[in-house]
Amino acid sequence: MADKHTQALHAGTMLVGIVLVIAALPALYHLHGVITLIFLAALSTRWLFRHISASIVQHSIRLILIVSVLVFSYITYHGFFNGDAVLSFLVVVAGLKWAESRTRRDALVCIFAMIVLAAVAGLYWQATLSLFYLVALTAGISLCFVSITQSSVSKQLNSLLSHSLIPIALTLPFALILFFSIPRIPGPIWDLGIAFGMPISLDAKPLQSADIVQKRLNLPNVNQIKQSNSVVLVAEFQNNYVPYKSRLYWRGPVFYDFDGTNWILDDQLDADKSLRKGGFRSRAKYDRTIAVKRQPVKYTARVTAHGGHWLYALDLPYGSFPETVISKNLQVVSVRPLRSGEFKYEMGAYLEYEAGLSLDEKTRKRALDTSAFEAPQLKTLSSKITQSYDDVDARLQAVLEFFATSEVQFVDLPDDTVQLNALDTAIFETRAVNELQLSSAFTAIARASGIPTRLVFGYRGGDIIALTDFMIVRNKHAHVWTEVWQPSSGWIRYDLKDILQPPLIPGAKKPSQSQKPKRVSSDVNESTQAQNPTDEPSVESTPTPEEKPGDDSESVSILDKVLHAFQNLSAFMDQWIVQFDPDKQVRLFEDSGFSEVKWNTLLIWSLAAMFLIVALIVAAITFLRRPVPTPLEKKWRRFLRALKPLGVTYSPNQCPTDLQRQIESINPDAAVATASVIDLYTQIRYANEDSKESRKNLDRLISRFVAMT
Amino acid sequence: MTDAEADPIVVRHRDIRSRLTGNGWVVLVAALVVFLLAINFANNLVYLLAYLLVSTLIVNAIFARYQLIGLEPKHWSTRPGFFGSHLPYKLLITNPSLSERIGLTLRSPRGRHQETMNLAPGSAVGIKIDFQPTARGSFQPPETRLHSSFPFGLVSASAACPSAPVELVYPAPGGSAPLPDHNESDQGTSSLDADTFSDLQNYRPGDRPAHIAWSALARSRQLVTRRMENDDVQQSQHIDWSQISGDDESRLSQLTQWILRLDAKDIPFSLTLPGATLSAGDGPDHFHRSLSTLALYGKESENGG
Repeated sequence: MADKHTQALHAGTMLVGIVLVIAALPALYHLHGVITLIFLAALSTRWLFRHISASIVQHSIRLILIVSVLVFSYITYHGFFNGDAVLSFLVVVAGLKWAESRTRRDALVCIFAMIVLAAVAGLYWQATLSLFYLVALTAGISLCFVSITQSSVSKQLNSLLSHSLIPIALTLPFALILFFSIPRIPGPIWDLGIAFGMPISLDAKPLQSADIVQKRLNLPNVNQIKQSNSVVLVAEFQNNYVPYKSRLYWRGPVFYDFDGTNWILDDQLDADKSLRKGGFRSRAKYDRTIAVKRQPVKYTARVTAHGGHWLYALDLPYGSFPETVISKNLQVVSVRPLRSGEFKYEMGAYLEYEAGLSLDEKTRKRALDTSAFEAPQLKTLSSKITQSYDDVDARLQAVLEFFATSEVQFVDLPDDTVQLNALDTAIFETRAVNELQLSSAFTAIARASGIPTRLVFGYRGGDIIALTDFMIVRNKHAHVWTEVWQPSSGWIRYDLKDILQPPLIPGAKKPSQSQKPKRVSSDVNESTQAQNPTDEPSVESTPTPEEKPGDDSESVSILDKVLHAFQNLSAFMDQWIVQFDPDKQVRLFEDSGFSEVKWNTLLIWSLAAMFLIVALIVAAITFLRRPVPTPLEKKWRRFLRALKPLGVTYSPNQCPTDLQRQIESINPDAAVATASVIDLYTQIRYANEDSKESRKNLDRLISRFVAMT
Repeated sequence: MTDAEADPIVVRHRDIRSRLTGNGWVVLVAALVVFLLAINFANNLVYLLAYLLVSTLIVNAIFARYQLIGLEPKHWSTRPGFFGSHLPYKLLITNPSLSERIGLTLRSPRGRHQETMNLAPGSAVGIKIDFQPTARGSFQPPETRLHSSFPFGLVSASAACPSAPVELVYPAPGGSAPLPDHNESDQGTSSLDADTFSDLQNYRPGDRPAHIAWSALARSRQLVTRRMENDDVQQSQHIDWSQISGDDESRLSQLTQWILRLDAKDIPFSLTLPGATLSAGDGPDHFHRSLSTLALYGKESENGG
């Protein structure tokens, strides 16, 4: 008995060892090769110590391995308390623990180490393939649990699988429901503390973003700001209404002047005093500049120190707050620059607006200046637009249409060695731009077409703290947009990022030329496209290697189909799992017919879906465990069904002899035939006279009786 | 030996209680940590891992319940034991369904589960549990529950079993005093050890199986037992509470020890306790009656345990 138990535990421990190695693979791949060697040495002590009985030697070897990993981590990863050093230690200790595991408790410790390693794998390896790996690894961990905790289940792999494959498979639908429906809380965790006003500094080392943009706004500067995750402001919306993130523009400095490479602030305009002096002194005056105001929201914001005056209030601000002014560029500014600490203010905003009812000649000139733009192709395009349309609105429409139908793609962090003086290259050749390049290009064309245009730097959106009305805006949300002057409406915001076509999903076919929206006629554009060496031939026109004549088209075609299916699956998984985010979560539910997606909606539907799956499982188990009639019962039921037309009703617990008496009283003519059936059934069922022959005979008698009725 | 036919009980959904096991709690905490990690790093794969761990608990809870539903715990069997040792209980459980039930154990606050059993479709199996009584006398086992934590051992489903029957706990044998009126010592031989077999006689109920002459049975096909040489001269032994000094429990232990010795030698004996006297006798019934008297001495009205 004890031997059997030991053997079973040994088999279970070996399975744990195999899964542990699989769990450690991504970590080992990430860590230095020497850690892999130490890990393998740790595993091998399981066999080594069978030949070394002296415990002092065993302990010494273990100690050497632990010291080795500590020393090596310290040297390689520059300390004990960084992620890689801790991971190295964990991997080696897990290996040693497995090697010395003799009891169920030891094996369970190894299983929990696997869970940690699986989580680490998810952090280090974010790809669709790692999704499959993680699911497989979790199945392996579950299998280990079965192996270790169920002593009555054989430890043979086929037995383990036959007992646990269905339960393991059923974990997946539950996990997916939770994945899609549990409200997402944007990290990091301490954001929650920040949101709720806990004494956590918004940022220990705040990025002096205002100092950066105050000097000059160019591609490297924007990239530098966007690469920072530090907090810019925390906003708490009032009246339980948090608007869509995409509609939130946190307004910062406004730029008119371009020097060929950088957008620069007018020292006098945006310097400390002039910024305040130029502001609105009375609310009535400010209100007169607003032509259209819709969708008001109210919020409180805490802004971190960034070196400038801008409070990054929500566009378009309204209201007043001590020590703040709304400038003539419609920004909320502090009377003192924010050099340290936080500034808290309460403000309102109209998310839809048209404002700024006058444009003086000096400002108009600055807003039309194209002298510093070295973009002949863009200028040629604008001159064509100007020639084609007399009306300014029509020109603006044509410019927007150009961007909407171009193949320019948005990239978050472009190559910042490309400067803003290479806008033609970015728009017509590389066709990969960020918001600054895009806004600059738009400004160049619009100004050249006679449309006053300016640039605004700020932030768009933010991270919503789920279940709350808080939003955290970080430097990574830095954004640049344009404003166009229209005499009838004032300054109107145009965010070119929203006008561009969405990027192509990897693996998806590009739309054919005939499918594209109508393009603004532009020789420049078309000739550029024709000359563009980076243009890829369309999928339709270029034969793939598989389509070349002479190939084994059938076999290749199957392989191609499999690969294509896998690519599609990978793309789907990538889009819906690896790249899933709170926005997609909200969109998913909205597309499913929910008008308002709130955290409680998500939770309710999550629970409902889970209950549905539980009900399905219960129904399936009940169905599989339903009592199945024996062949004899099936024959008897067939006979009973045949009695019904004769007016004989049969109760489930009725004795067959009693049934015969009932038939004799109701239908004496049939009683002769039924007697032989009932007698034989009684003999087989109760008198233990069951044989193949008697069953065959019963079958024949019942068939004859059924034929008679 | 006690056999108790319990009322027929079928385990239903509402009878089942689900609890996280120790491992389940650790997995839940691990899932929580992984979830926080996922929030912190906004990592979807880590989110998925956290949810897979939680799903494992949910699926375990469903499957563990379905290991018990429809089972019929029917029949307890047990036998008396001595204080200080375990009382073995066994519950016969039938599985009238068409699916195998896996990982069934009996658990009780004072019980030590012995084995984990699987129950094939349409079969019955006796599942054992040992109890450790805390006092001599009548022992009523505490509530015993039928458990399963299949498949992952993270959530345990349990259903109350029919009450286990009361069983007697004899006093623990102890003491080194020699039997009265015999010059024997624990180490030395005595006349009680000097029995030899003489001739054969027909088997009578109550004869010890060790005395059955198996070779004679093979020859004559008649059950016969060997007769002891000193059977004719053997006189009954009287053992008395007053023959022992000390407190009640040590006296009872000594009496138990003597009874065991006398029974092993098939010597009839009579027993006197304050307020109770058993006349001379031998055989299993007399043996159990004597030990029961000792077990219940001073606590007939109490419930053991």
